[in-house]
Amino acid sequence: MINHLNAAQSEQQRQWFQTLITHSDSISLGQHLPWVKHLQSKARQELQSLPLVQRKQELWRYSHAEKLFKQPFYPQTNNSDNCYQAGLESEATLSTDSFKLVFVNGRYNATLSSTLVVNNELAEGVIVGNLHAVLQSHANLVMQCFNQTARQGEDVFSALNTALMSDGVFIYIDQQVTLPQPIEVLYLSGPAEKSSSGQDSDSHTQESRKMANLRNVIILQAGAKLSLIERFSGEKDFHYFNNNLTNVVLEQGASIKHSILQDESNTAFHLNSLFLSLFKDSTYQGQHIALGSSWSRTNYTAKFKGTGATCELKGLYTVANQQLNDVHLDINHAVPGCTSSEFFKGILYGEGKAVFDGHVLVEKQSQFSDASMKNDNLMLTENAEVNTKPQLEIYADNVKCSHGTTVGQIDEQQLFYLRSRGIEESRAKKLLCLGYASEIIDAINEPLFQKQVKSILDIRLNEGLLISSSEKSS
Amino acid sequence: MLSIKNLNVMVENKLILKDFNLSVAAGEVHAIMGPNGSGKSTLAHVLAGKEGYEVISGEINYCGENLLALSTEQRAQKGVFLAMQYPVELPGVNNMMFIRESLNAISRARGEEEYDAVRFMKLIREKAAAVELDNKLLKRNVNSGFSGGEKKRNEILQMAILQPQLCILDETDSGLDIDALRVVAKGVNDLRNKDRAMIVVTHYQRLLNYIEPDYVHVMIDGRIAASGDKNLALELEEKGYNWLIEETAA
Ligand SMILES: Nc1ncnc2c1ncn2[C@@H]1O[C@H](COP(=O)(O)OP(=O)(O)O)[C@@H](O)[C@H]1O
Ligand SMILES: [Mg+2]
Repeated sequence: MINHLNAAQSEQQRQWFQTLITHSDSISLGQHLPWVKHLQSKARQELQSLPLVQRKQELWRYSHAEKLFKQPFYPQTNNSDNCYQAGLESEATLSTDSFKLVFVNGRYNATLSSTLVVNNELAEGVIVGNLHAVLQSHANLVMQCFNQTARQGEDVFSALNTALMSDGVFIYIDQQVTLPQPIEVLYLSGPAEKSSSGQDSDSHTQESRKMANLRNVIILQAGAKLSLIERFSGEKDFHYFNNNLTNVVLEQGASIKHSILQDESNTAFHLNSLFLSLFKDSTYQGQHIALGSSWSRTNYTAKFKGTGATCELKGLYTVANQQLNDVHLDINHAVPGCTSSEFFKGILYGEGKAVFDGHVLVEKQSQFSDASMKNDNLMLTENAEVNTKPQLEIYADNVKCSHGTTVGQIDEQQLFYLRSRGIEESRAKKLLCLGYASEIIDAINEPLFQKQVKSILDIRLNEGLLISSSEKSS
Repeated sequence: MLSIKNLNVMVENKLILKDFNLSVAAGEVHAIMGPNGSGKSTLAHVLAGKEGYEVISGEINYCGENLLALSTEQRAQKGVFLAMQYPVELPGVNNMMFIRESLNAISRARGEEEYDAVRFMKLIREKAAAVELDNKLLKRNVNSGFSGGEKKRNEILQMAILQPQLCILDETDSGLDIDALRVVAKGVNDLRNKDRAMIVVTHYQRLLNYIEPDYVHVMIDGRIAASGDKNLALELEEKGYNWLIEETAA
């Protein structure tokens, strides 16, 4: 990564964003509403002046993003021919006991989503739906929620998301309401069904490299409770870019369990920015499992706005050849007496690359803060690379804070032990990797989701460790 | 079954096993005794195929095959089992799952039918009872939070389940109280038969009150300094190792 962009590189990057904007004419999320129009045109303007992606920018100091700007993308539009079908049935039927919203190639798919969600009849005091629909039925509520979460993410990709947002998930839960079942959001990506008219083999023309900008707004009023699962999944070798942005607001005593599985296609680009606002005594419990994508970046920005709140994040990532996974955490103890803990574990093989850049700020007034941040990495090959930097910046004096990072290899004694019991070397390594990951996986409290994660992790480890199908069974 | 000839092994540029010779036939139990640092664990590790040991010269023949040409897992699949002196913990790896993986890896390699969950459960329950290992320990991660004695019992449990041809026990008795010692010895004696051979490495004569060896060897400075029957062990108990060390040095 270049520290400073030269004039030509800057121009190329601005152009990359500009191309996306100029191709976005047919996006029509709430264009009839002045406030949406205003929001979007403002974001377009900002895109021309916001700092570009380069290392001298704090946000991108350890990241590698050249790969992204080398490819042009085109916004997903409403009239795009878009009938990806393969595998949808099985994806959509994986769990039956959750409320489900399904997006296919960045567009809401009502057929695959639960009818209850579509009809907005989940429960008293609960409004759930795709943003597009809720803007029709509850325009004022959506506006209030947007106002509440405005001015977050003053970076190019957040601005891009605002400028081009085409749909997303809207969840509003009223005071003291608990949803009995989890809400599941699926983002599926894949090529349009091949027509018989011949244009099959080259369905990956550049025009078809689509970008989706989904905007999620999740508001939990005082005492509300929710379990939310998001899963990104893409068909092998399909090229696309998901640029998601999610705002979560937890009012007093609200609590959310939020699990994310990023299992995008091996050629996908994935950027997910989450902004969390935690008011008094609220709880955010997040799990982030990143197993796919060619280029993946996740930003969590959490701000404590009331005392006694808790933010807990657990993450797992695996990266193989040609994969980059970047986790960026920004935790702000702006008020006293809050607890934050982040623990991310990575498994790296081949020439896989990972970045962990975490920052906890404890402001002067924030006494009795409890903050811990940890990142562990298991390197299976010499060529894998990790840049890890958990940092604490503490201005209060009566706090409990810790941070740490480890980068290690498979333990030779453990490997010998397994092999001496007849277990093939690659299989033995896999068992040790699964053991290593279990600290994160076992903490997932939705059993079906946990099962999904386990089975995909299993596949990824087999690929990463080159385990042939004959050795797989157990 | 096993024939070791003129084996020379270096560890980190230091010669540890020096022209080492040993022959073990099916049905025999050989005890190997000797002071700390004489090379007993080195021998056990070289037999099991652990990395980091450089075989300078010599040969090891196991059931008609060149053992040194086989990988660690192939040796295990062909019936070599080492009960470790220091069994390691495997964080996050469930004990029962581990033992089943192992059993099925070996079954697969031999072209035998794998154990399904039901058949395996029955087997492990039975064998765990025999080594008096609490079922709770089966559900834990391998050796995690096990006491010294529990770790050793877990080794014997694996041995009982895998039914190896050649059992090598490296100081399985060290640090055990008398009850654990009895259990370990029972595990070994239960497996004793005319087709199976055992090499029991021990520091103390005590274990041999429970496992009666056919041969006793004393290893000093990388070589067998004396061989005999169980009376040799009693003699060592009485006189210590020093007389042999002096004899070797002379
Ligand atoms: N990994 C190792 N690195 C360096 N020296 C070793 C290693 N393993 C064993 N040794 C040395 O080899 C010699 C024999 O050790 P070992 O085989 O463990 O003896 P025993 O089991 O009889 O006590 C000792 O001098 C020991 O220090
Ligand atoms: Mg030893």
